[in-house]
Amino acid sequence: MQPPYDTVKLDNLMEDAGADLMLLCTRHNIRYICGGYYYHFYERFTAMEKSVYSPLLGVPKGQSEKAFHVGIAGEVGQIEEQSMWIPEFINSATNVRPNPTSSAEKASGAIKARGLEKGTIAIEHDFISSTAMNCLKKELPAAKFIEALPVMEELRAIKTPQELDIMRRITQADSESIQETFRNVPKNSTTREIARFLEREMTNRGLLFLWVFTCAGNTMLRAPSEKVWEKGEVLHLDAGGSDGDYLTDVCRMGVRGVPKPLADDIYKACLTTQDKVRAAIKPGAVCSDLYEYGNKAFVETGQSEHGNFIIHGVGLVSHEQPRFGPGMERTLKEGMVISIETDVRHPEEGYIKIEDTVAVTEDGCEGMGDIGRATWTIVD
Amino acid sequence: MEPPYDTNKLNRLMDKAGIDLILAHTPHNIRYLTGGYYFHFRERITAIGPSQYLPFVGIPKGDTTRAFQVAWLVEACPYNKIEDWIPDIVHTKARGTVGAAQIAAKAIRNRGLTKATIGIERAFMPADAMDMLRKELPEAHFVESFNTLEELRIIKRPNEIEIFRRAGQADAEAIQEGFLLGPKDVTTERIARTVEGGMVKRGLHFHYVFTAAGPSMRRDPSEKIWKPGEILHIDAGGSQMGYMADICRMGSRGKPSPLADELHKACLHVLNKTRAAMEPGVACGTIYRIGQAALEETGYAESGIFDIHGIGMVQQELPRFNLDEERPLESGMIVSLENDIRYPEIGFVKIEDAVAIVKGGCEGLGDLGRDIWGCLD
Repeated sequence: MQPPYDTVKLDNLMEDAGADLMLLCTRHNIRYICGGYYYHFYERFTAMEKSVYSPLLGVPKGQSEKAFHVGIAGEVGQIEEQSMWIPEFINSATNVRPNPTSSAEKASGAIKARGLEKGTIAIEHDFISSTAMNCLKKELPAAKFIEALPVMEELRAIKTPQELDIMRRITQADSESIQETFRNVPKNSTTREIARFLEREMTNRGLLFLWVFTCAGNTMLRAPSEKVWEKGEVLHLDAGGSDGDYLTDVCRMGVRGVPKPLADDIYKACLTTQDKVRAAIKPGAVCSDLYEYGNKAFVETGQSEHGNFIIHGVGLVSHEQPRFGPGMERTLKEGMVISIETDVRHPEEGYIKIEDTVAVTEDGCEGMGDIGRATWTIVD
Repeated sequence: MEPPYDTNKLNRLMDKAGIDLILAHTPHNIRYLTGGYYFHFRERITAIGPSQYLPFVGIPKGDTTRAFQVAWLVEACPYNKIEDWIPDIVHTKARGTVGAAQIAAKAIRNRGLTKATIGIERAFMPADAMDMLRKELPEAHFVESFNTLEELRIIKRPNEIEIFRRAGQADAEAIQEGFLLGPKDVTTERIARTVEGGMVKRGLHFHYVFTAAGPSMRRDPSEKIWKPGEILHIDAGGSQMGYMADICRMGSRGKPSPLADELHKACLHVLNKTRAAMEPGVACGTIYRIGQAALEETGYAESGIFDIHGIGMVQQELPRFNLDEERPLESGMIVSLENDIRYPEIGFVKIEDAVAIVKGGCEGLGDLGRDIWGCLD
């Protein structure tokens, strides 16, 4: 079986970073390298008995045929079922519960067996357990450890057509769930009830619900709470979910009754900002220019005083490559996926926000779940 | 607001372990110590940007008035008030693990605890956060807080038991919903998604489901269709407010064969006999031996496994059961009991229950469907 990612690109990135081996521990990077696989039992919680599920995935530079996967016995069935390409599976927990030390010991053994004990090993320092790290340092005293993040983020930056299909489908499902919730949640529900309604809608559409911010009226309280969405009040539903860890994150606005003129002006200001930025997104556009342009467009609306304009890449991680801001000189490429958000936190009118996801196409960008963005969703 | 946990007990446990400050950072312990709080935005996914969400709760021994919580700026701002008892909420501007560790270290220094013994959760502590704590607190001594916090959580309060009761019932109902799909000749993946929907509908976070359709021992949801004449076990876990439910029930397409029925009854026999012996004061070792002996009595011990463990905010926690465990059961403990028999021609027969230890015995938490076969067409 062939690795599902661009092996030449990974080798080049590793060469540039000076890495001899990628040793990955995060769910998003394990999924990416494995082609979607993660042991389903531990997808949504990790603590077990006295420790934590701690898989490790090793990929030597230029030798994907020597890749290895340290996991636990219970996942072998799923690995076979999904015909995973990784040639060597190592069980770290024969007589013990999963734990980071035993994973790190097994990984160290595999690294030695590949003659890489003096190599430069790229790891994810923000995620790997301190006990696993201690064990790796002890078992591999001559190895040099560097950070894996830049290599892995770059590897994932351009999405494949299959990845774009997933992101299109889930962003659509997210947007539909939000509209369904605005329209069908019982009158006078609390934002906590609204959140649960939305969670069910997302689940029914095959998404794993991750979060929703529910800001009703002018409270500015975005966490679901006992606050009732009252007649005359605006509500923003800013909801995230995932499928196979690909993320969707959409914000849409609803109002019970007719929006007030000022609220409507603010909404249009957010929309205009989003539209202008989207019109400027295409291959070759410079990230820092887009950031500056978006902020300028927002200021021109005259509503930016209480607001924020944010733009960032999204994929298996929220806020990934490409990054936007002053000094970000990289140019967009076809296949990148970008989240764009404009919000205004107005003391009287409330927290008005639009968030879209777009994919960079050959000559522009494609909205990936635009339902309900052109206007308020107005309900009784 | 008062701390929701037993502060005297925590002080005693910290004394015994020589810990001056608990620095908790796992979702289960943050929830337990705050009284249910966890930033909802990061409940189900921690990675964001170049790093991940890492909150801290710090509790100095004997002085909850100087407890502190490290949160994100966006979490602690007026848009997302943190309403728990912790008096000092400090927030990080940076979103990463290192920034959070730096702020925690500062809060510890502000309390004059630079030379303290600090209890951390090592297996869960990101390596770079640990490096930062060591750098910022070079004179501090770091020890493992796992035993202290696990012991603190062992006896569940009535409001916690109420959550387990609700969660167990919801889990058991969702499983039955899965069996109802049987006549439609669906895949185990489809059954898994139905159980997930059933849990979410009932207010549970879905965690996982194992679906072993006979006679295969493969438990992972797949394209395998649950066919007439086959048994199916649905072993499903979820949580509510961080409290775990984990239940396994059996189904059969059509009437099960006499042998399959016998295996099911054998599992029930083991669990029933063990449950009948559970009450405050009985040693965990005694219970374990009763379960093992009951499995022997069935004649299927060679292909069967009896397992029993505490369950709470962690899937397997105190109390622990083995032949030599002398610790007695106490009112308020929650225990999960599982018995399975893997039989080549039949499949993977399994029942898993959860019970709360109460005065004079134990209470089943979600017993729905345990002594019947789901579906039957």
